Amino acid sequence: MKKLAIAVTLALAPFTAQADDFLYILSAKVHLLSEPSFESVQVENITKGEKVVQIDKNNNWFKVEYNGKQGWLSRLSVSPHPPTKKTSRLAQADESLVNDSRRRASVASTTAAVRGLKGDGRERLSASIATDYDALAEIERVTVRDQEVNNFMGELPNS
Amino acid sequence: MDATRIAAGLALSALTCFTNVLAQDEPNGFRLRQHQVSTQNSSDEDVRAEIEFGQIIAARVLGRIALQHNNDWTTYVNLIGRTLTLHANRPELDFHFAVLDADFINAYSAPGGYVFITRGAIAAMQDESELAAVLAHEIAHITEKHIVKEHNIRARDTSALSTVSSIVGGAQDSARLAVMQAVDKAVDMLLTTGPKHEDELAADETALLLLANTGYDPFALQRLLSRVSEMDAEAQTGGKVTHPPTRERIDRLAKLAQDNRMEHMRNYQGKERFQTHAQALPN
Repeated sequence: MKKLAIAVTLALAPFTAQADDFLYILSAKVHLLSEPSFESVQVENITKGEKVVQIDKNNNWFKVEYNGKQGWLSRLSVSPHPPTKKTSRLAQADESLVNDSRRRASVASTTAAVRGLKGDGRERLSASIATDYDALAEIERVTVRDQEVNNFMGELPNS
Repeated sequence: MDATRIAAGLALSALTCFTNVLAQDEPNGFRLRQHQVSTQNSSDEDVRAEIEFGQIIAARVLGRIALQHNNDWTTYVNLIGRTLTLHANRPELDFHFAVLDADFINAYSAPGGYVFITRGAIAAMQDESELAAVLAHEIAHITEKHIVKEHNIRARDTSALSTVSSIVGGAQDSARLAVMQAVDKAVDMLLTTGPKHEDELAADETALLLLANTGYDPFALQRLLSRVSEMDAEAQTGGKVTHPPTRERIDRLAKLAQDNRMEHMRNYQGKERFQTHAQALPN
């Protein structure tokens, strides 16, 4: 009986996906393709966060199985790790260099980033290093709503 | 260094993104990692360190080359960029795209999601897919973590470069100095010497895939490189500037398109939409 159990286990082993065989979809929307080619037939749509089983790999392409269907995904779309939420910047920056610099609110100022350095380091780094944290803040304030992106993407064939 | 000198210097190395890399010959071409999906998962702290490191670099770039204040173009490049990053593999990052007020042709990216393109580069383009191609190339430097890997930027490490974040909270001077030295090197690489040859080729490859993945014309980068190369040749008629050739990159892109069976793809180029916005961009 024991031998039978071992034999069954060994027989099933090739069909049992190991943790290493799983890939997660990182892109917002992915088309499972019939061939390793962007021009091939779309077999299925897969959404971000879904888990697929890796079957094979061919340069920039992974052959996977999803919902009982096999197909190919670009390497850009997947990862062995599930997608994580957005990482917020400055979350732990109580007296951060960046905040310090921003508080100075100077345009093209000598960088505040040298603060805290002593001796040679400060002398070397304070040599007129221009920074513009106001412009950086302006860039970070720009928001584009998801609906705007969706409307914009509507012109593209893969949307 | 005033803006004129910066512009002159960059003009000589113009096209860091487009042409310069060809001057360097590296026999092995792509790094192995280009064809791998990373098996290492960055921690939240690593990503935060990457962003903070990138912020310092981005602020330095903006201190050297002014931001172009144009709402229409800011929105437009962010829409294109966001569309591309939805199809990329760094969902944990917020990407930011901006136009720089400079006549020369160049584009830059800093870790953590900061992408810049000059007004001069946009002026050399003819459609939206070409703009998307350059943004995709810069996004690729970020998704492939080229600068992050080059300088070993991590949240916790035993090296001198441990914790960008801890420069913050009372790390030793040596650690702060090490981080700022890494910033210096990264900025110098971005603005003067250009990225490593292998990183540029890797970014081209990822950009090609990203364009196709998103639905943009995957031949846009080749098209733009060819045009800029011709412009470059015209510039050389003055006899003062010798730009490296772009032939290798163009040929490589053509082969990659063939290998990935894209030869017959004719995706979105967006000429009309691009031209509409182009009218709103100051000369």
